[in-house]
Amino acid sequence: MMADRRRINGPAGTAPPSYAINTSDLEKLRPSRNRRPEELRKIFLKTGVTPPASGSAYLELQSPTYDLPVKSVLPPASALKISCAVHGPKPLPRSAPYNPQLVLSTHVKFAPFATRHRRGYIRDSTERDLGAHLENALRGIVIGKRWPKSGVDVIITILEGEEDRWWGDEVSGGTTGLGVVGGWGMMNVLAGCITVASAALVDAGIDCVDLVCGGVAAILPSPDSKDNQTQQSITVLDPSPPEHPEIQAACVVGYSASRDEITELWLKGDSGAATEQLIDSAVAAAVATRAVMVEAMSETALSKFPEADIKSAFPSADAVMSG
Amino acid sequence: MIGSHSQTMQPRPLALNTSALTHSSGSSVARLGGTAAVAGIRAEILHARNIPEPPAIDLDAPDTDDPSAPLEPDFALPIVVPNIEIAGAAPGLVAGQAPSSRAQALAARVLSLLHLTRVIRASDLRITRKAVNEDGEEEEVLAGYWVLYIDVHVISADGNVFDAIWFAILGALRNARLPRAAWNSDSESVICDADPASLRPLRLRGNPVAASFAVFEPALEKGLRDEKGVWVLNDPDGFEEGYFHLLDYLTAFLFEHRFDI
Repeated sequence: MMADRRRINGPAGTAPPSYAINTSDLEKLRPSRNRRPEELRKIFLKTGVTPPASGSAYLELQSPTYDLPVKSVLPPASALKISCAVHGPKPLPRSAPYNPQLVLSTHVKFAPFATRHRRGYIRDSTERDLGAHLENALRGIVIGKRWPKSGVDVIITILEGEEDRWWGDEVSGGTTGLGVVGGWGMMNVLAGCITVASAALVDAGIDCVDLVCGGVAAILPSPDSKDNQTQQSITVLDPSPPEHPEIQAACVVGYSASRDEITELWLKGDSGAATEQLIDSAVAAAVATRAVMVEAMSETALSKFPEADIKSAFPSADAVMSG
Repeated sequence: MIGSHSQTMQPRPLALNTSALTHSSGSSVARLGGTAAVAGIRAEILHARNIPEPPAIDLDAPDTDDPSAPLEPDFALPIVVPNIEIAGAAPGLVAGQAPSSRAQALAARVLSLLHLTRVIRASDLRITRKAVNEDGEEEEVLAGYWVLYIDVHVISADGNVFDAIWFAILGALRNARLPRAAWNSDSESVICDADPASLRPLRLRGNPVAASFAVFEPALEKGLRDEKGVWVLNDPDGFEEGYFHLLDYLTAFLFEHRFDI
């Protein structure tokens, strides 16, 4: 491949370090979920992180702590960290054809240090795929008619992604080989992108019919079903893929709660007869995320309009949070 | 002043947060007023057999703390690789394209200053092994290098991006930890120790601090032609960078009672 002359290139032939790990210790390093099945990781959401942009938001999931018997320099799992900037609405270039609607363009990029394997600088197919899914989710809530002949750019930088599987399974081929296009981690990344982008759109003051929140749920084969083929499975909200040796199916939704609408749905794996239940669980995760979002939004509103009566402006805020 | 300064020589508040990223050897987030940059360092291994023209290095040469010593010949190889991403950090910086000339200029400047300040020691990046030479004596030879990929994402560009980038990089370098790397003769490759106790920091030479100044000459502005005097602003913010006719940008480096410009 030709070297990219617009970037500073490293020497050819570098490789990530290989580690010597005692195979008897390997399973002791495996992280396992220590939350309840319906419990989400704690979410931190803040708007206004990029003052020069018209709107911005930052989302972070709490890094889980595992009580592992053996310590290693290899991190057991990662925690999502996403920054989003919204530029616009701004006039479309003169050469662009007339458009009576707001032209929404989404752009998702992983930082090179976001995942265990160093990412390239050029957007790959996964990132373009995420951008398309995100655009779908947002198009359902933005009132495009109010901004004719205008465009808005939603730019997302993923500073830390979600892992597709535990690193120990990478060599041994564990965690269902379904994750060919993007893998399971992409589901959580998309949910985070939807939530953070919706918060940034609100911060930018772009008219939306509602907030849209991302939620993920997954079906796991029950640990004791391996021998007796009872097909007993459990559903968990907000799955962290490294915590589960096997994932049967996962679903991510972009859910607009006050309209009870799903603006984006992505289902992966074999959910069988439990599909509907899986989607309902993903919606439940999105509703739980919404509580955090409403809180962050009322903080944003307070900082922008200190005089305003936020409580009456957000009539649903208390209801959602208490529920 | 109309910008976020109360005094021309007063920088905006600086906040540094380190080691937040899971997949980096070292990382930090620097905030300078409304400007924010995230730096992450990934260390990868370059085996000596993959170096077509190895630089002539003397492994027995004493290590010096003196930042005015000549640059180690190791750095003829690109073993420190900084790259800057600035897209999306301010309006007009379009995402999804090749790095802008501004991003390229910043990256080139970071690389030359990392070399100029001698902040990274070549001996920290060398991986050596014992080998027997023709005379039957055991000697130390180069097995490879740690290559530091230093990637900086500018999250928010509200003026004086360079200083924020530099603080982020220095913060990341200061908390970077590399595992112990040893030659494994069975696999003929470098294998690292997974024990967290084996991690070691980089022994940086000093702590060079960047301080950028902008020169503002009102007489060059429309409608202010009769204004006398020249202003020097430390840490200009986005407003000052964008609306003033800035004559020049100077970055001073302060380390060990020495000024380098």
